[in-house]
Amino acid sequence: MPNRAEPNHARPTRAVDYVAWTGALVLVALHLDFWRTAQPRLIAGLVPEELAWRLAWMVLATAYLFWFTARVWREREGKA
Amino acid sequence: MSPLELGLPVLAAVDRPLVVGLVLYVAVVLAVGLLAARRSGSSPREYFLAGNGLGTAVLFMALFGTNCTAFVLVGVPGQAYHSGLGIFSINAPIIALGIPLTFWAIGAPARRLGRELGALTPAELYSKRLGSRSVGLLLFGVFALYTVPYMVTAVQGAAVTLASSTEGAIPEWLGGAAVLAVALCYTSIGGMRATAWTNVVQGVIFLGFVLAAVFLYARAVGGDGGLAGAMARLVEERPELTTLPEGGLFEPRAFASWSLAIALTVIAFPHMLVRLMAAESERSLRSVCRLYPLALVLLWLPVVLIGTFGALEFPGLVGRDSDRIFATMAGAFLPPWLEALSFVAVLAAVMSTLDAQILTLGSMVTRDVLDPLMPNRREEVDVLRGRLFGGLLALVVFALWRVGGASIYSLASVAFSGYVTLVPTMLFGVRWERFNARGAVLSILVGNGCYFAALFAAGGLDSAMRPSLLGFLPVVWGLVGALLGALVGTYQVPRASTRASSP
Repeated sequence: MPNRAEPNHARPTRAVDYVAWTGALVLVALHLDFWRTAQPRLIAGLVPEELAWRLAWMVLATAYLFWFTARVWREREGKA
Repeated sequence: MSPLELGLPVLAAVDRPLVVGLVLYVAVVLAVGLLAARRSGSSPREYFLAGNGLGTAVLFMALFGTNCTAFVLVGVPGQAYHSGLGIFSINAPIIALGIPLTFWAIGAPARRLGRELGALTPAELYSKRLGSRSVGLLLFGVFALYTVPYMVTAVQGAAVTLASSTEGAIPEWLGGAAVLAVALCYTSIGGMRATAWTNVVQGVIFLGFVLAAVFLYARAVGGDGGLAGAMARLVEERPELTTLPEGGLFEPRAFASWSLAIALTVIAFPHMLVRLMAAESERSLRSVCRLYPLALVLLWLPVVLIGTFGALEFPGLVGRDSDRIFATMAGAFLPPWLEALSFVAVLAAVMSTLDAQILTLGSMVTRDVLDPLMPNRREEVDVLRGRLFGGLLALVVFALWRVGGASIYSLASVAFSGYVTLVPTMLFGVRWERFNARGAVLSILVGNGCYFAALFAAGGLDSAMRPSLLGFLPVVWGLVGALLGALVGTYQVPRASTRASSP
């Protein structure tokens, strides 16, 4: 368990916490996109619209995870 | 030299490329297992957790290989045959986000705590953290209840694949036994390190195959236009396969429920969590999380496209008959050696999960059930026991497969969502200081009670993917019950006594 009495230099700031939560919630909301209706057409002559939306979402999620692992998930090596 | 001359009469009746593929595959995984064994020490930590020494590349492939079952290679194309690209939409994106976040939320602290408490299995970790043997035994029971049927269906999938690819020359019972025996062999030889290293080989095989195959299929379906031509044909001839279908799992509440299930369930597989506990460092875990979304696209997009292109070329398959589309496409469009590789890829996907399950359940019987009864045993005995119980487990799986019938397969479909009922215990156990044994026991019992009640309200054991109360899938009610059980149980115990029982 994290020891609260021990100074944790890796702890992200509260603002970073808010951004992390907000980012995750926005991604989930965009995944549960029941308002959206994809048309059966190709984007750039290659990717169907529905697939293009999902791939774009995954690019966004990947960017979020890179940010998350760099800013929110700090290493605690040696502290546990 | 022919297979017959080599003393393998069964294989003599099989196509040469498939014989070569199977023999090569088995030889390579056994060789890798042996090599891993030579690098391993003899302690239980070495055998069960590879000495906490899995670096980024091996850890990633071990997790990815364990996560990818034969269902992804065979079942997903079968579903995409009917529902098109919607199968990608409902699965791949949310697991690309959910799996890395659960690795952070549960996997990373579980790894730290496991080292601190000297725990080698997930059940042992929570048992020690909460100071309660009951929690360990209960967790072991639920893990076993959900994992064994899963193993049975994996063996069934591999056996059917071998039997159909060899046109019956390798009967199902022999194929299933062979798959279990090979997986058991390299797992027993080298423990976690062997399973992790073989997962690298297996992952390369099935990932490499689907990537190569999808481009060849696209060329066959789309002509000179290749992938663009195949997509254009898809939009023109079967436009409904390029948008989200309506009804069933794609109805909003079912879609949201399924997203929750598939995002949370993977971390609750004991064979996944134990691999996270074997990570060399937290840096390795972070790197794995960054790689996961890309790997999921590289795997899921081809397998969904294989099923969707199959619907263009071989229309008319009804219900579960569409599960044959993976083999049908390989037979129709691939050269013999690549067709053989398609079957090896399925075997690789099966074994990459099966080995981890054998190792993890075997270790839990040893560490969580037997060890507390024999406090004065020598630690080295654990490795021997782990091997022994791995073998017994393989026998149980084989027996259940041969005599269990349809009820086992119903239980396997229940298992996938059922693991989610363990998530509150696994999360609070590593992240909430006040969480206690009573909270864990109540969470697991109430969660599973609600889950099964919702299953029966939806129609019975086969209803894990059918809407239950208020239109949500049963998994949602299982999770709600588990959360409530955790909160009520935890707050029943005064804070002071909770602290006293914490490590």
